[in-house]
Amino acid sequence: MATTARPSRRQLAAAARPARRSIYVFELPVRIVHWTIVAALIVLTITGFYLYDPFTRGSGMPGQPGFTLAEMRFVHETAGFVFIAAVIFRIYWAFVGNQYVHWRALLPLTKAQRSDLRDTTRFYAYLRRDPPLLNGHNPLAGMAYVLLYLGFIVTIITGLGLFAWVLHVPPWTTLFGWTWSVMSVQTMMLIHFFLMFMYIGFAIHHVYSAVLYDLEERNGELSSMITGYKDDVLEGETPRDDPRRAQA
Amino acid sequence: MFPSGQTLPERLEERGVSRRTFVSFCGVMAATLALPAAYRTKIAEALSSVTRPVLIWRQFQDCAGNSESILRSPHPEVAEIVLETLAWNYHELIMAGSGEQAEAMSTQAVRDLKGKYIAVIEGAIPSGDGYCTIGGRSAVDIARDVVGNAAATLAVGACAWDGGLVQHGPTEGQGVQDVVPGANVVNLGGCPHNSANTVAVLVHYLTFGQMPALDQYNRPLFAYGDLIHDQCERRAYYDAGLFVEAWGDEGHRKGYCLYKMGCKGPAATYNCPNVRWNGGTSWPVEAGHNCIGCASPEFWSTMSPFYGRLPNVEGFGADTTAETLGLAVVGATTVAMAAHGVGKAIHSRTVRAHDSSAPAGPEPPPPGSAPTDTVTDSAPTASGGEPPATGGEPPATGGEPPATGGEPAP
Repeated sequence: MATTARPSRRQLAAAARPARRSIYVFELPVRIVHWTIVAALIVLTITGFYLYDPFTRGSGMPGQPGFTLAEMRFVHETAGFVFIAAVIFRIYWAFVGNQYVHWRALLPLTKAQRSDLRDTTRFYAYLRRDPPLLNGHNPLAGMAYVLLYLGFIVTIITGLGLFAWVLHVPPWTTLFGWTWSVMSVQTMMLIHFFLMFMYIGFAIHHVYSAVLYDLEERNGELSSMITGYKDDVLEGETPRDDPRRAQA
Repeated sequence: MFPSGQTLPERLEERGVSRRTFVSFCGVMAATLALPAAYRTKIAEALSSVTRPVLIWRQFQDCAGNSESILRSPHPEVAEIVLETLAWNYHELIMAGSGEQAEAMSTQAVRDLKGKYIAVIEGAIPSGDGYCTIGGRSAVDIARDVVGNAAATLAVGACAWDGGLVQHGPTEGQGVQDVVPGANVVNLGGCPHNSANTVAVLVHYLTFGQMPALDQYNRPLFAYGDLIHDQCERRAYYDAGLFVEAWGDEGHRKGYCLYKMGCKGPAATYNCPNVRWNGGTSWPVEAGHNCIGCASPEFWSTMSPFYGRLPNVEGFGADTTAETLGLAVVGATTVAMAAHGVGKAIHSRTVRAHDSSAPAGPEPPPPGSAPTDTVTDSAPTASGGEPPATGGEPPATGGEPPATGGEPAP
């Protein structure tokens, strides 16, 4: 502690370079989808919680009967369909997007990805100081996103089941009436409601990890979801014996 | 079947039920069945000309609430009409006969009128061993006999539909459709059934010779097709966001929406708000109590708790709600992230301090000191999996397990 804290070898190498090369990681559609989902989830959480527990009452004043809950429900349903569109588009983009957002990048399919998965876990477990060098998602995050999207699908199906229940007319009953046979409407509401807390928890973790990576890597992790660009952390590194890494 | 060749209106006249009352009853039935008013005369004609079919009403594991419900028909004329239109040959609760002679009425109908009589089943059928025998025969045996040979069966009340309250009890009560699969059963759920609907189904059968349109649970759509919520007279308060917050508060006295008190109206279908009870006087929500969804499938389980918005989460104690559990998840995540952040800062600092005390580069670290991750990084680790020798632990974080001891995924 006598000397000032010494930066890591990589940070020294980064400091030696005036600026690292920028690489385009998050394409525009991905960023639009990301922020659409963020906005939709915020709206859905607030209105959805209101539908569960109407915490503020309508005015009830003479001549001003108000339409508070009905409006909340309208906003919730509208935001829900925006959310569904965004999720469908992101799933589509996982098949046509670039290497960083492709579905193959989200699952530990290759040996290198499994190695990175282990290193990332070690990084989070304090067993390793620096996260593995990656420009895209780390495999642990990728798996978290896959889980997140599985949750989204359950939320969407229960949401549409409840939407069909509320309307109780074709074509919605024809399309999603089957959900009522799978579980009771009350259970459907319970699952739909409980997953909301999972997303709040995920959002807290997600922001924390983004900040953590931004501080660790100094690669523009946070701004990349706005600009699309990150600093290339692999620049100047010895490419691994891995085609995925070599091309990045 | 009329012994003296009398028509139904003549017999009703004898019993003091006027032609006007009879036609009015037919109008009510047409309305309940959601048929146009013109069907009133068609129903009157059909009921007048029908040859008094036999009805067998069997009770098993029940509270007699459904019998009470139909006997408490608000207008005595309605009961008269129903009793005169159908030959009510067996009904334990109301028949005068008892013992072998009474039982013979049931067995005789099953034998002589095979496929021609109507069966009504009230109460769950105990499938557990040795529960509920009548005249030496088990409930399951009687139900298979009576239902299996009937032209049509009405399962009235929640218990006869799916086992109801006693479904999970020691008797293992089952619904009619479970005990006699493939039988022509119409389920008239509800606790109790609304006799207006049951009579309407009978009238529909006598008028058109077939059962009304049914839903996926074999319940008539005219009665079980619409949300209670959409028919509720308190719906405007729901949309406006005006709710009863506590029993007896100002909102309760003003008749505000009971949603926050656990009303299951939004999750339940029934024509309760329209047909109502006690001669159309009232129904639970109008009386100031929340709907408990008694006409929904397995409502004792699915609609519990009756005074809570959502089901409790099982496996975390009796009264754990999704809200409690969800907030715990969010709270735990926040705490975990904050703790991890602090830990990461400390870890980063200690590793860095260790780096500065240790010579950089390829020289071996001082004895007793494990190589740091930074040193590890400097080695070509790319091939996946650091060798155990270099995968050691910085002493500063001491006590942590080696590589395999990862934390749970984020």
